[in-house]
Amino acid sequence: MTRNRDVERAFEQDVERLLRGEEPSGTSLDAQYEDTLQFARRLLSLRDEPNRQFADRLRGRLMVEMAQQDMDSVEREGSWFVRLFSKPSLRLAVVSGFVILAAVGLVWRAGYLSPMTEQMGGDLPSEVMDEGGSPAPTLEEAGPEMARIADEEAEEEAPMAPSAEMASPVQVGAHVVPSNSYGEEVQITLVFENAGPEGITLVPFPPAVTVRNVDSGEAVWTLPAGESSLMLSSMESTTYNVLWDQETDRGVQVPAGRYVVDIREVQAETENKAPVPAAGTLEIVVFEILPPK
Amino acid sequence: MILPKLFRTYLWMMAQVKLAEDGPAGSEGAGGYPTGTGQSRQELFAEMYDKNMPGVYRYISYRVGNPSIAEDLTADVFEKALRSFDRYRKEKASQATWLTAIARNTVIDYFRKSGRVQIIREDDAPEEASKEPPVEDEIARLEEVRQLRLCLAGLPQFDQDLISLKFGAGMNNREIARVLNVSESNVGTRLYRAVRKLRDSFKGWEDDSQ
Repeated sequence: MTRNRDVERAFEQDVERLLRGEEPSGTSLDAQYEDTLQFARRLLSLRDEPNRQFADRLRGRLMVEMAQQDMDSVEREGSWFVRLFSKPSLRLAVVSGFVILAAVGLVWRAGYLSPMTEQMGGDLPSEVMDEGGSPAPTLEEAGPEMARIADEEAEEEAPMAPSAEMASPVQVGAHVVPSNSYGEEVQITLVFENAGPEGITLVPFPPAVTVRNVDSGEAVWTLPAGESSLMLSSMESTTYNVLWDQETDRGVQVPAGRYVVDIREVQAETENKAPVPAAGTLEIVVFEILPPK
Repeated sequence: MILPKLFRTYLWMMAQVKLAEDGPAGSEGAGGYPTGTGQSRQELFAEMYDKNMPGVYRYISYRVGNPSIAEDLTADVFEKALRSFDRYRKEKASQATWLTAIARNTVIDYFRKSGRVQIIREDDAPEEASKEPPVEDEIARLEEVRQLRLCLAGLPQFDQDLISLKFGAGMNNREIARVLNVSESNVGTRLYRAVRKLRDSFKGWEDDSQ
């Protein structure tokens, strides 16, 4: 058995040598092996090499066919649009591009990408940062009572409010120093921006500003709307400072606690006197009045 | 900001798509042939033809024993290869293995369609025989060739393939194993026995003629 394997292996190696044009190893195992190896030489001598003319002719014909195949392929693929969708990877790229664009559109329409949000959330002036450097708290942080009131009022105003299709070009923001000493004037900085493509006029100006107690939701002070107007050309913004002496409408010092600036219904009209949808603050800004020392 | 993040995600996806399509520089492309080498599809096919055509022809010639039929079938093999060149995958088989597998199927189809058994007839003798009056030695050689092919045709299909692939195409055992779908050691074992069988068969013919 082992001898058979040795013979087969030796034959295999000798044939490989013959194929390379070398001589066999010269290991003569037996007469039968020699005979078989000699026969292998004869088998190799039977090999027919291809005719040179045939080889060249076939090569030329194949090259012509390949060129024709390429041309047919281009014609079959047709327009750039069809080609675009013929490759799976390109198809994936195009479809994913559309999906991403659709997602961006949805996010944009939801209002998360508006310039005012960036300005208010991302680049707040240092004076409206609290001691830890973080921006003033928002509605979610203001407490459940404020959130409930905001929701209720939003529901009440829903029939009057512009639909999502008619987003207001007016962007309104408010900045307040987060912590204020008891009895000191609180400076409320209002920012108005015209994010629309054409000029508008804010009428009346300034709009009504309300300060509410966060915990009770009660409106403690209201600055009535002014009687003037303000023109804002496209992409123009302006600020307006309001000073609140920490007294209620009845002239009483408010207690220490958390308060919120609430601006609603900023009315505006275009240069042609056409009304534009009303705007309100994008974020409800909470500030604190510290206890008396 | 969400917009730059989305845009970066999109760019990353595009980069992945490009990588998946092209592969690393100098590597095999989706079509199996190398990309990044600057060679056109035609040049790559021509290279494959020049490298492998003689082996394919010799294998077919060994099996059919007639040069003109061998030429026709060799042309068929490369036309089939041309049609499916884009589907060739180097990682699955070498060019020689791929082409020989096509050649083997082409030969099988040829025998099936022609309905003939592999009997080498007088008119299957090499064409050179009719071009010039052969000398006696040449006549003897052609007769030997014819008889050897007749003996080869009498062997089992596997042995015919084995001998044709080894002595005709000059393939190594690994390539033969892939074409015939057997183990490499099996090829080595069977080769010696197949050649001995053929030699015994041929020896009987030689003894009869003497």
